[in-house]
Amino acid sequence: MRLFPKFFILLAIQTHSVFADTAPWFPKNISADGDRIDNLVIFAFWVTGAFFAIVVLALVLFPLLYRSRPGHKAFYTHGTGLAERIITFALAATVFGIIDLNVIHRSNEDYDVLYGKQYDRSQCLRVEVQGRQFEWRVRYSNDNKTFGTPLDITTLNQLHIPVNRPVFVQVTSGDVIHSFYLPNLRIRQDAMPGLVTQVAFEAKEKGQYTLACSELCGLGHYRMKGYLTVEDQADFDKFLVDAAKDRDPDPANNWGWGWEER
Amino acid sequence: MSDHAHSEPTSFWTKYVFSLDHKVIGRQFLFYGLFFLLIGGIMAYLIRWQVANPWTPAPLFGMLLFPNSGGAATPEIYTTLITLHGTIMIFFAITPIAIGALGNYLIPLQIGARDMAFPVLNMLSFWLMPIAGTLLLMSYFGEQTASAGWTGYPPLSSATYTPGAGESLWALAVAILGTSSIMGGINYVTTCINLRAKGMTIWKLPLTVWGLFLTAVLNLAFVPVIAVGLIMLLFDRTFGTHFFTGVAINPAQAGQPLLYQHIFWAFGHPEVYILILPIWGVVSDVLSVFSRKPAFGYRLTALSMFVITCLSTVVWGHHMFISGMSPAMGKAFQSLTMLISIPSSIFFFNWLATLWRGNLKFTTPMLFAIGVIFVFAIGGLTGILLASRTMDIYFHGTYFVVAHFHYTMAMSVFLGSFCAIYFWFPKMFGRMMNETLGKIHFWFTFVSVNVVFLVMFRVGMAGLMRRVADPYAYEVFKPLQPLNQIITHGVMVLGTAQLLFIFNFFYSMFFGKKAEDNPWQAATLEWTVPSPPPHANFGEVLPVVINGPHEYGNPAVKGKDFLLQTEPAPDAT
Repeated sequence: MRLFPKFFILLAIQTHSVFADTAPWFPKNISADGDRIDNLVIFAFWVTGAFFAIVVLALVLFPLLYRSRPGHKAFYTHGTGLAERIITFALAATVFGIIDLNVIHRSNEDYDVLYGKQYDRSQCLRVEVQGRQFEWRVRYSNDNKTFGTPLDITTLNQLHIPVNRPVFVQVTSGDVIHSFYLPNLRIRQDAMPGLVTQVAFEAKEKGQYTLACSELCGLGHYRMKGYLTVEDQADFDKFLVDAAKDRDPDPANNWGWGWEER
Repeated sequence: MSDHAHSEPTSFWTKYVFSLDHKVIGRQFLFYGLFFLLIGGIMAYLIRWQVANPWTPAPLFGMLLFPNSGGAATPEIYTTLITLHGTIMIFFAITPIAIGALGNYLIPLQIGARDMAFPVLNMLSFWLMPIAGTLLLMSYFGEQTASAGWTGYPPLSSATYTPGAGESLWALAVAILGTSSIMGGINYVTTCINLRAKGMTIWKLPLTVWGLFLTAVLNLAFVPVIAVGLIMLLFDRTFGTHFFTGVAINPAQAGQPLLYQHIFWAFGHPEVYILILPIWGVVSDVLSVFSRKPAFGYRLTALSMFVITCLSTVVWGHHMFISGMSPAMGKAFQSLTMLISIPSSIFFFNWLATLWRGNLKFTTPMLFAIGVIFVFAIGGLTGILLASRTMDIYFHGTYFVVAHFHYTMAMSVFLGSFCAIYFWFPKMFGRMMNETLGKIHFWFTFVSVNVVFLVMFRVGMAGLMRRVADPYAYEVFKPLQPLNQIITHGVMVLGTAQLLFIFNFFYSMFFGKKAEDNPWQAATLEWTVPSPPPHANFGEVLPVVINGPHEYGNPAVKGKDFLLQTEPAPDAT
């Protein structure tokens, strides 16, 4: 019998934690455009939620109103009349028009921005990232233009970027498929062997954040963890100078690729 | 009985084991599916335990399945569990229950046939299943297990990164199971087209048969695709070909990992509908029976199921928005996917309109059918978020996706299968299941399912990736542990509640109340014959169908509120 109160206390604590802010609804957004995704999600939640509320209302009301009881008879209809068909199609068109068309429209509008169409290329930082079981190899160019030279600056699991400056990252993999995931920047891109893909973002808040792998890549997938550091341009320049001291002169380790401007 | 392909079997082996009778084969599929549902469910619990309390011993089943590590999961065990849980649930549990059991048992009975068109093929399609199941279970007990996820993406699933027999056995098992599905598909399509009773036009077919027929068509078209993909993968693994691999080794001679994803999802998306279509049919019929009124807009429901079947073949790219596929294709796939909303809302509206002004009887199957409406609403609506290539950037590969597809194709099929089992159990075994136990089972299942997967949406929104053995290795996900523990507690309640079903199922099979021919006062053909039906189903003369499948509550009928499909309609006067 002792178990019983304990159970309810646990239940109360856990129910509270579902709705409390102790666990974030979204990870903190530090991207200049990440709120586009958040706002789209919130918009979609409201419109789909409204339709869901109607369904729930029907599922609560109909059993109450139309439950079988003495003297109650079902209304005999096949629902095949013209009026019924028009209503059915009108409802389907309403759902499609209110939810789907809006979501399609906003998605397409936001998509190009999220991939950096608006950035001035001459101001951007270029970074190459290669996923490997189970680490992220990051590469900066000596002149922010040419990659794959002995002058490249490489780091392991440490992605440093300057704040308030657009960044283009080209991603690929050296073995299996990984996924380059920056939750705070709302960025995710599969790292596919044999294929170089590009993402763009601009961080607007300094700090240290998470770089994760979000595609099952083997037994060590869960610990394929890197760090994203957003810092002032001056600190970033200093970081590059420091990292350049550990420059690997061995060309055999030179896995960078020529930057493809796109 | 000259119109029947085979005579009544006399020995134990031909009657119960290598049977040609569709009713026996249907029940064999049911037992097979339930057995694997139990195994897949235990795996789900072990996965959840690891995610909630990483590296701690899982109570009860931990010591049973991996005693070497003291009952706690290791990275090897965790990746094996997620691989096998997905594979088992989709191919070895849902497929045999929703398609194998319901299809075999119901198609001949509901269309007025004596058996399937090809009884021997039918028997073979079942007996390939134990072979596939044995191979899959063998992969668990080997040195190196299958651990590249149920999607088995190369290069991870290649011999370089997942060496050993396990992954090959996995691919072989699924390919063999696919062969069984193809055999079943041939049989279902032929039977539905050729063996319908006199008067059984396509617009008099129960919606269950509509669903099963469309499923069979999709099976025939797309299971060969995955079978070929898996065989190519097996070639990569064993014979040194490079269909999908070798990019990192030698880009000039390399295969394309992206090609595998196209092959996999070209099958994988139709597969979602392969699993759910029979359940949509079952739910439509059961709602009509217990609302005591005709299924609202029967033809439109059937047509929207048909349209969804067609659309399901051209939307697979929404699984690959961030894979590196061309953004132009992403845009097209996004719009095509959104189109599915239209037919979905039509039949969804028809479900609600069937309940509207009905005479609702809340039997256990009816409760489960209403449960399916609820969970499918959540699954369908969240699908719109994931069909957006923009929102998918953030949600892809998170628990949001996991919660979404469990609602759409796992929980709706799970609840829908219970709906079907409670509904047709009297016909299958000649006895009634206990209603009180059934209702308790429903409420515990329904509530815990929603606790598990609604909270999982929350975890996914917070950005947690799926398939991560220890989420708390990441600082940012540490606050999510209490939420993950709630989900795990929900799974434990869900699992425990199934004991009620197991008890009810087996107890009722032997000691349940004897069932009448038509305990639910339903109109379709299977209820015109004794429970359980005799060999060759319909006695000397095959039925002649006069009415549609949902003649309930017709005020012109006196004395009862339904018309069997074979009963002449009363005079209009």
